Amino acid sequence: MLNLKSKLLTTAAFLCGAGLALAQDSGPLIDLLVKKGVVNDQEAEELRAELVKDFVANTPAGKLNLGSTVTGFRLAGDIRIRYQYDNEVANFAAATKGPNDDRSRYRYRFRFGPTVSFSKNWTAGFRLETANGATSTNDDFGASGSTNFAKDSNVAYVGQIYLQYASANWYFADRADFRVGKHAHTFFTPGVNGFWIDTDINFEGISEELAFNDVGLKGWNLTLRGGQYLLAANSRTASKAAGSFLNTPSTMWVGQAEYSSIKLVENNSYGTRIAPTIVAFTAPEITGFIVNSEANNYDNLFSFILPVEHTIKVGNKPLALYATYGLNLQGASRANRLYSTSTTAVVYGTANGNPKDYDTMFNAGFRYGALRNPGDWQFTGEYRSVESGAYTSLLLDSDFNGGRLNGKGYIFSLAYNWTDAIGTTATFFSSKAIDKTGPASLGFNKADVFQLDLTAKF
Amino acid sequence: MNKFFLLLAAAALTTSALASEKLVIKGSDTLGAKLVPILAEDYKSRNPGTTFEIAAEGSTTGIAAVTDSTAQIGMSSRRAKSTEMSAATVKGVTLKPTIVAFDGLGVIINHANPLTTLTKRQVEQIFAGDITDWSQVGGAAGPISIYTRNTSSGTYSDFKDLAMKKRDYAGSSQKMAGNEQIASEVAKNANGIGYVGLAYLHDPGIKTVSIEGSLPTEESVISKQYPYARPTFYYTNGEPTGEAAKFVEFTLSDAGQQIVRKVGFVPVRKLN
Repeated sequence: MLNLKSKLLTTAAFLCGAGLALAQDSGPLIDLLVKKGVVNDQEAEELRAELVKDFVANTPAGKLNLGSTVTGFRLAGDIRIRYQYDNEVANFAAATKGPNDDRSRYRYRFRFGPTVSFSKNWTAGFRLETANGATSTNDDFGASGSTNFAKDSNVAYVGQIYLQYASANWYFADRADFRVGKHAHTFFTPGVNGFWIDTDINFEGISEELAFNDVGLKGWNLTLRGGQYLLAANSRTASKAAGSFLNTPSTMWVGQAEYSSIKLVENNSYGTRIAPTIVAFTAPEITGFIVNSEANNYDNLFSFILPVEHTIKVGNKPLALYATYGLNLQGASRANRLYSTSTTAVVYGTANGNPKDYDTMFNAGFRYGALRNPGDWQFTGEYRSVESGAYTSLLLDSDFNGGRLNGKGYIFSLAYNWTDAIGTTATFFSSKAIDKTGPASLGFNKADVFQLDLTAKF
Repeated sequence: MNKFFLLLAAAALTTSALASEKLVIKGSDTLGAKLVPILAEDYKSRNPGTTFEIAAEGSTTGIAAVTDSTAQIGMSSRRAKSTEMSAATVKGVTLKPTIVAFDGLGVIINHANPLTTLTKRQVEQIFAGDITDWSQVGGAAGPISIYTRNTSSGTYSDFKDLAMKKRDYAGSSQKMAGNEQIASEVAKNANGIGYVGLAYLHDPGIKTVSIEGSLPTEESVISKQYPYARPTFYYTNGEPTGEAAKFVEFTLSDAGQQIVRKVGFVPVRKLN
């Protein structure tokens, strides 16, 4: 007859042989040992306690002391090392061409943070990101710090901080997703780097998404998305004279209704998506004056945007054909104002130069292949055009035409997955000014950008 | 001579202080509301001079008290979680469980409710909020009122593990401080349902439903046939010593286990 120590050692050796992580799931096995009479209840409890003690002392997961309210904890992020070559020629109203800006840049991106799950479909998360700009997470090696190799120019910022409630079968909807805080969006934005919403942007405010299956036609789903975002709080302070500053925020409102029929085949999505969208901005004004220079960016923006995408199978890979049409319903006024030299007054109809009716933007492209497994590749080609009054540089992809308005051109991108985690992407952006006589703030006369990325995701 | 008497008096006082050991026991309401106080009374009658401080505010508080060295014994109706083990290890405390009794969690309804049995699936669906009306399980129509223990209770998490596949309780469920409160609320509410330990199944105004034909009894619990059966524990810092060791020994003795049975729990071994 085995004594207790022998029994425990035998059982523990078996469990340890199967991996310490098994300790957390060994309950049924220990129950079976009790049932078979190998160990009694008290011995089983001591074995359980010993295994848990080993687990907490000897495994990374066991050392993580999470609160009892946490049902899931995920750490994720990515690191990207980039070589970038820029060749940019400034635009001048009085000349056709400015000086040639030719430079190489050695850049990196770091994003990292936890997502914490709670019961009842609640999630909270935050993410640290390099760079302080809204549309870029790139920082530069060799940037001017206090000394060579100094760290004072290498800073991580809070990129995301949010609470989320997401649930299937939510009241009348088949799926619901609500987010509040600074968070990633779910709007459908086909195009390299998101085209009309740069993929680096984290909106600040509230997002809602409701999905309904089989609407109108079987297999066609309707997804309604909304967003109410704070652009500038404009909070009145004691230093601001009464009447010259309103305690009224500048806001951005987005509404999108996506109608789609998507089928998953071998983990790739095929089908059609069409998503009419409205993007509107509000900025407080006092008797025709924009209340601060930042709000100047937000006026005269009320855009109708129509992104579409259709994906078919070609040669065993997905081929997505996509396009976006955007019309700023206040484009003429916006172009007029942006062409004016004043940054404080709205000068309707007295623009410098001739902005015409620059209220339209579009893109059209293809994406062949999908990046899921080692050895996968993807090739993307796109043409895009953004007229000067069509939209706002606050949201546009920052890599094409420097993220500015008044540009047209093409993008080619080739990506390859070395492993599940490591990938390489080479992208070439080439743009020219639509109106070469516009002010320098309205895009480059010409801009070519080449990027070579090595990325690790974890 | 005066010095001699002073020393004698001091020695007598010291001896008296040493003889009067105080045992601090904290934790589970399931154990601490009835069983442990009765055990303590019996133990005191056999060991005059021993005093007890018993606080029954949930298993979580018992395990935390042993970890913080504010109690010699932590009563718990559930196993210590890995996070609690980890917290104890950090403080140099080794949580040792000792099974002192078995318990069955009986599902109770109001005595006027005509229902007599439920399936395991129905119990899960009722407490998770999938089933909200008694008519959905063959009872008279009426909205189901769910009573559960509060979140610091070991019974709260044990019932989730044993009966609900670790799902969350329905949002409408009402949290009660102890077994007696659950039994009392269910007794007052014709549409009520809750769960209590074996010791509370005979409270007035309630009745126990069988789970797939099995009722919580000493036989069904000890044979592990009743699905919602569980061990209950004393947690100590390693092997108990001193008065704590003696009290654990007493609890496991025939005399202690007779009290376990008398109070309504199931002894850890067969008794004559």
